Amino acid sequence: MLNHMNKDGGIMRKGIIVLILSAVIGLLLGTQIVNESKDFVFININTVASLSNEVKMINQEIKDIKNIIEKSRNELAEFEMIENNGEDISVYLEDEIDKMKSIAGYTNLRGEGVMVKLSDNMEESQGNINYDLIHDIDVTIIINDLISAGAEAVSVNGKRILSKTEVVCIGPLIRVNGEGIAAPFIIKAIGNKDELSAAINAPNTYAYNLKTVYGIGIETMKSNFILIPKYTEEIVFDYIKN
Amino acid sequence: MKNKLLILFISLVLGFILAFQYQVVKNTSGETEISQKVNELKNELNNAAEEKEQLVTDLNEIESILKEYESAAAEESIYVKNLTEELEKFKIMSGYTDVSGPGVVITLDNPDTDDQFSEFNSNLIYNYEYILLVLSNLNAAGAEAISINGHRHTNYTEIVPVGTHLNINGMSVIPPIEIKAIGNTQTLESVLNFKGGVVWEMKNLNFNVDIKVEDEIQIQRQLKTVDFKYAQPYE
Repeated sequence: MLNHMNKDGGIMRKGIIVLILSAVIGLLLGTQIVNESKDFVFININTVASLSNEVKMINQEIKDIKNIIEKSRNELAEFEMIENNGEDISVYLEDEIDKMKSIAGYTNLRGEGVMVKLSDNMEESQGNINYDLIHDIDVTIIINDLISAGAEAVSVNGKRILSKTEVVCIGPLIRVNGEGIAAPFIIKAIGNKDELSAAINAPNTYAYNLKTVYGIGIETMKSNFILIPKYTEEIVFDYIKN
Repeated sequence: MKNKLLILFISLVLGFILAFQYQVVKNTSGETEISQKVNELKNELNNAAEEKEQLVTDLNEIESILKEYESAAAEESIYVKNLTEELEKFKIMSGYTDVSGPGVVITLDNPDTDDQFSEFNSNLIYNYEYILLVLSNLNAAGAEAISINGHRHTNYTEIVPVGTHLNINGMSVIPPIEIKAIGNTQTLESVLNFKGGVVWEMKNLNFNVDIKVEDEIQIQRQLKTVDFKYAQPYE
């Protein structure tokens, strides 16, 4: 009987100790978890990475703006010098126009680069015939890849590609600068010929996949002498008001 | 005896969990080193943003003085006047002047979480060709100037996915993508909004697309210098 009571009391005591211990541990755990979730939202490794990326970007922008400011200051100084010396301003303006013209795409350019020939897959078709053809978006992406690889000028079938150039499908043709062109497409680009060539031929580039997966004909030729014609259409702004 | 063993075992497990939890907290966030780094970076970013703003103001000032000189010179002769007008045109073409006019503002964004198919299919960064298509369509409709998230679309603008963001004019950009285009608003709007067109296709994939027509759109100039390393002009 006594023994039995003792045993009962022992179990009670143990129970209380376990209860207290559990409560303490529960509290500790709870604070730990709260602690974590609170900090986790605000700070983690990704935050640091994206922040330092942002800092890098803005510093790059600052560098660009400083370059532009220096250029403008030089222009201003030149302008003032011409004014003071009573020289003819038109010479200076003509010079500036020439510079802007070449950046805007209104001069013929030559230099090292690549020539890429894209042709439809002419082999016996196995599936969807659409996969054998070159589409407007294929040409667009390849131009974009070349620009990304540092192309200073690009043309497709003799049409200079500018930011205002459309590359859209019109039935069996592609419309570029208001005119229809047909496959095969000859894309020329001036720039570092190795880097440009890599943008087309390196594994996993868009053009590489077109060639290996869809069987589109893609030939690249590096050259030291690529000629790219100027944009020929006149500039007319109907909607921009300055 | 059995009870004691059980309690011992549970205590061990709990002890382990606690220790582990502590480690995790310490590794991911608790360390003051990281929060210090974050604060430093935030400060740096703020300072840089201020510096940038100041520089843009400086630049605008210089440009307006230049413009004054030019218009003063233009009054001297018709020839000079024509030259300044031509220079202005080429500056707009190459993106070196702020421009404004009527146009459309297109916002492209990833599908809402409930409507996503997969990480690959529902992320604009991996489907950036839609952005290229929108630009091409806008050009076909005669857009006179375009910007993407504030970056002027120029002859040298690339749009490429790099990891978890897009690079545009060398700057990192994430969705939502805001494209502004100046031109004939009716043509610009309808070139995007036809059945089977790019917007239709994007909406089928649950992307959020919003097109707003506005009477007055401002597009900022580009801030990069262009120097040819390989290309030379010829007649």
